Amino acid sequence: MNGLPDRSNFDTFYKCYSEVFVPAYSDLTGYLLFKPIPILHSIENAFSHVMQCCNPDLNDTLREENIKKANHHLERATLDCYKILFVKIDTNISSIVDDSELRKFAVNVPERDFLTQYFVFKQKIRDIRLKEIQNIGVNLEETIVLYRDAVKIGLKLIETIDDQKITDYKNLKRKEAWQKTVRDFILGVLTGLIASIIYGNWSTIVAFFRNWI
Amino acid sequence: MKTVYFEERYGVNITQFKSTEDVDKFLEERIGRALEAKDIDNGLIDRSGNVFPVRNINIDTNLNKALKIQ
Repeated sequence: MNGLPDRSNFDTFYKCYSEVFVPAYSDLTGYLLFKPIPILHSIENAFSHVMQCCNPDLNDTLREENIKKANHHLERATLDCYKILFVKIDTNISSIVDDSELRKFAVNVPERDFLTQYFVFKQKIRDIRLKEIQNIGVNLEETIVLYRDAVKIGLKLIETIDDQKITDYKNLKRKEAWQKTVRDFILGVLTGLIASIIYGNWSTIVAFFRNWI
Repeated sequence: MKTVYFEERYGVNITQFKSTEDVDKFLEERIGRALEAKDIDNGLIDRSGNVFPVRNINIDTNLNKALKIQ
């Protein structure tokens, strides 16, 4: 042995990095358009363990253990990527679901189908989460795939939301609110004006009605 | 493993990206600015390996809250 861990472990680590972690990282960063600090922490942790493989003071067994720990950090980071993605997608969808008018006008599928799909999405993630809690540490790879598939459903739902319609709807609402404010303001000014005219000519008005009666 | 969002959204093949740095560079070119490192509301900081204490917020707590799981 040349002092480095078994090559197959490095291969496993690289495979996990390039084939599992990088796709998950790209999904999350591509969606958020910023680098989430918690994931960077996980990368740092994995890196610390990888560097221990080059530590001449450690024996081969400890080096092997470190590469396994680095691999585990990457798997956890991958799972967290999908969990964060779920929470972000859910936040975006629920802002539509909670608005009864938006979900009618800003979604390109019938409202009932949209709501049904949303509850299926939530239920799927809930089932996976409960399964994960029951089987902590049993099979991380399987959990990653389950979360990933559930996130796919959420993304399909996001596709049905029409951003242009949301913008148009919000503009319309803003315009409506502005018109209402202007109308109320003019009405207030007119009321004040009429009231001051009446108050200023109260005696004349009273005299007019007395004569009229 | 294929991506669920990135490839379709940006019309690329993930196999062309060998590292997170490649992903960052590509996104920075696309959006025309540097990608910032930001904390998220639902921090999931892994304590292991850190010398200093970190925020005691867990993504699983937020996930459970979103899913209404006690």
